[in-house]
Amino acid sequence: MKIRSFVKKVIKSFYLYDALITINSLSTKISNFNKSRIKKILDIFKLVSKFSFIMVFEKDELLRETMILRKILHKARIKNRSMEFFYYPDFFILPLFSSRKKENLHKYKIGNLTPNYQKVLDKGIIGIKKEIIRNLDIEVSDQKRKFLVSLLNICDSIEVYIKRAQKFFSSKNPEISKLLQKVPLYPAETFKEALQSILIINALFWTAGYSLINLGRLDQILYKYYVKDIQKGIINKSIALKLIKEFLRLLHIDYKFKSNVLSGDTGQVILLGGKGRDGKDVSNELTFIFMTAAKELKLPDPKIVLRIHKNTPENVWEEAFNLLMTGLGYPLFCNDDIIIPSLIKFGYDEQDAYNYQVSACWEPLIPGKSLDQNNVYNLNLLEPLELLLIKNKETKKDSSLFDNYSEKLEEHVKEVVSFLNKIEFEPALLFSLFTDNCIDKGKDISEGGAVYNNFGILIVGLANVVDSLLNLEYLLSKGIISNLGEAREIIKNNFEGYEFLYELVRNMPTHFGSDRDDYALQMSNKIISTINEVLKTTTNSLGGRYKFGLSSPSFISSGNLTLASFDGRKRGEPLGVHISPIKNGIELISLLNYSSSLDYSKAFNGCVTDIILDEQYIKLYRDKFLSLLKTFFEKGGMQLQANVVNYKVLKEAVKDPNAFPNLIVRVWGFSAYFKDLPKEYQQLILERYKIYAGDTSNN
Amino acid sequence: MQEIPLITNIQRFCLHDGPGIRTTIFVKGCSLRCPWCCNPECLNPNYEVYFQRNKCLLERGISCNICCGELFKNPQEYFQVNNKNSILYEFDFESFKECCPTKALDVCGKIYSVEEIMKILKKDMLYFRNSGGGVTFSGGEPLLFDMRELFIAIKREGFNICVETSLFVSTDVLRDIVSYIDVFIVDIKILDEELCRTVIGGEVRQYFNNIEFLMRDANDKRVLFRFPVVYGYTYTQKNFKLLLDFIVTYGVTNLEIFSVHNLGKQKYNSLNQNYQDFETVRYDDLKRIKEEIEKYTNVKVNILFF
Repeated sequence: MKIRSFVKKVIKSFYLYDALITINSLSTKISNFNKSRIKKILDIFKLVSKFSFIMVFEKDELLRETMILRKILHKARIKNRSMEFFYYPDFFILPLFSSRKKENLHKYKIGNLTPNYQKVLDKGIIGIKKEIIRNLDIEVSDQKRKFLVSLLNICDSIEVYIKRAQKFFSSKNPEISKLLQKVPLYPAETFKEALQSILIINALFWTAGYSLINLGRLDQILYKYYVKDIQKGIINKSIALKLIKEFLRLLHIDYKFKSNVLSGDTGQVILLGGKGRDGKDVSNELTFIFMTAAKELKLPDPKIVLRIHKNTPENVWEEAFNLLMTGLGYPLFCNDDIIIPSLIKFGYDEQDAYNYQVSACWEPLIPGKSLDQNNVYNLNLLEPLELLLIKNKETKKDSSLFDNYSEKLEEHVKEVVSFLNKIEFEPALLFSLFTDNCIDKGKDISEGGAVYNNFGILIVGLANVVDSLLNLEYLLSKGIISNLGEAREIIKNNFEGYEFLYELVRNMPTHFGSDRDDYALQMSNKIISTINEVLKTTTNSLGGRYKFGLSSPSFISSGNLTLASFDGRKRGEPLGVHISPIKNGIELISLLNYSSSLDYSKAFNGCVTDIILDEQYIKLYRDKFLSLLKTFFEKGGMQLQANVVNYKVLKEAVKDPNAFPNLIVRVWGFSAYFKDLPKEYQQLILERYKIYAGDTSNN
Repeated sequence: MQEIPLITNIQRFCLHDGPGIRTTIFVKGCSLRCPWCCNPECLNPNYEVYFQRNKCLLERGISCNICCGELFKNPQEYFQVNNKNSILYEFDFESFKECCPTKALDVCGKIYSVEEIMKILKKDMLYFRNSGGGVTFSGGEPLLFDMRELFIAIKREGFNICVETSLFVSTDVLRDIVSYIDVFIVDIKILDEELCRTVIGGEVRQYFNNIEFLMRDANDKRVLFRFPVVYGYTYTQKNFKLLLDFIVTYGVTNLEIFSVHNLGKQKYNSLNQNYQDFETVRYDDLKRIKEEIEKYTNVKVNILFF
């Protein structure tokens, strides 16, 4: 058999899973096929596992979407791949081997959201169906009718799929079969049913090809089922822990499949704790059970985000800190006392603001009510400076360097916004089904059906630009550089031929992150204000607004594309990571003070202070570190995450990552197995550890 | 007592130097010369030139004409300190410090006004309060200097004060400042009179007088004792027995022990001073020493990592 016909046959198979089986079975029949070539082809298919081979030729987008989902749910395998390798007796999840190909490259695919799990638990699919039918009864336009009928169609498909699953399990596992009779079609009544329902809804999204599907405030959503079951004596604390552990493991098993940019980047975030509208803390027994489960499982994914505030009880802090000390890279801490007022000020309803959770990484998000695409663009602040130096030969002489920069920044943000306003979204019926107001409005989420339709911009390079501007100002004032023309030559030449100057710049004191440098702080807040001024008057194509934050996952990727800069960075080197120092010489406490003085009422779309702590010290002086953390938030810090590392292990792991298969680190908004990361990310963690460890020789 | 000392470093979020979150002020000048000292820049009370050869651009073949390439051959030769406020050189040291691009050449020691110090301390006020921390004076020997003005300013803010002192100072000095200090961290070094004089240059009688003053006359003060384990010096059969006697005599309840380390080696080189290598004590040995001490006395021993 020729390779071409072989590949053709493979492509004909409907699902990747089938394709793999076909390759395996065919390859045994072909004698002249050498094994390495088969392996190569297998690798290619594994590589494109994000794409499937579902072809639907239909021009109308809504119909096409419906047909694809229908096809998936009617044909998808029931047999869970994991069942062959693992033994999970209690729950069922959809096998994740087939996902859709991206149909339209010009359109943005909605993701990075939390479906309204609460609604599914309360009403069930059947209940949602009734809601749709009720809306159909009223006189509706053809457009709305088409949309609502599509949703109905999808509900029916889910029903078909669940019934198939139920039948499949009826002999194999009657327990699961019984569960599936109930959820997700009907409202959940027990703790176990609620977990099963969430697992299925979550998996539906992955199967349908969406990415970064979040989990939401599970300790709040699940609590009433937990209490009821405890009262009835159906479960006790240890059974609940066992179920939660299994729940987390099931969410974890396909983490590679679910990963977005890097392995581990799945967006599976569980929110715990938080402040209620009465100011009281809402954490409950499940808050602890989730943290205990995570601590015992030691998995990088799903990860926990903890909402804290000034009334967070001591025992929650203790448990969260113990979890942090394991080195898993989570919980990420979110300060409700800062975030909630910022959300209200921006225009979110108060009740919704109190119920915030986060997008895949850290951007505050109203669950189940938002289209909010919180990471629609990474804005590199060094870009306007590059433009100022490279493109503009003339700068206004009577204004300062910083004013010139601000002007360029303003222009740049405006350009970005006008680019973003052209974004169109692919229909996302599954999200519409589980997002508030889409059904009432009769509008798909991609067209503005949700309650909130805001876009979020992520800022990268704030530290680099602040240091660059201050260093440049100094060099110009001292006459070390004669004018901006010379500065242009220097960065164009990547400091080549300017070795002395490079060393001088590299050894200048770091400004960003030093609370002894009031000017740097002022400059940071001025940059925040400048961006805010542009964005606050702008609306996006769906009538929503723009928000921005100071954390971005693109510190390496944007850095790769950026010329040398006067903070002492050569071309292509990484940019600063979130809110953290870019060079030696910043004390940890100084950074925290600096960070807690930034203006989070304007920039709140994810502002993470990212620190690296030494395992040895944190263990020895645990209480001091916990006190440090709590005081940071009391002083107005917004978010914080920490890598707790053992230097010796980290150093060895950089040399030979595979020797440390269980080593987990925080990357950006997620934790990952160290060995899975690209070399440059591994190296950067080590470099940043050294920055934080600083010069300890004096003590 | 001398006037305001030079300060080599103000280090924030110091972990080892007393309760809670602390800022440690390292003063320059010491009455002792312990061979194992890891802060050699804090011995001499005057300005000193600090040269890190590996940081020098010329050493790395990058042309730099800031110090004309002359200094790096033997930097200390070019500077003669006549008194602590000036250095004989063609320009004053503050601008000189700014000149060396990589800070390979630096001047060790800086004068801070009380206001300047308070400004730095106040930044961490809430951290001090929430953790029960405060300010630690280390060095060097902080009690060689009259810092009452600073102590008063610190006390006015309500921060607690801790001093790391060898106690080789006159008891009158101690009596003057004792009311400002909340915690004393005191080393137990060499307790034999003769060896103490020849090895570290201290009068052990003075030390005992001060210990007696602290433990008997001012016994409301918290005193934390530390025992640096140095083979051949503090950890000898004879000195160890004296240590046990000391613990019993003065009713020491808490003792921290730690091993000397070699992290100060580069500093000695940079200051053009001779460095003596010490064998670091392994953790297992520290554990054994801890058990030994606990066996003979009622003291609770903690092992410190440095």
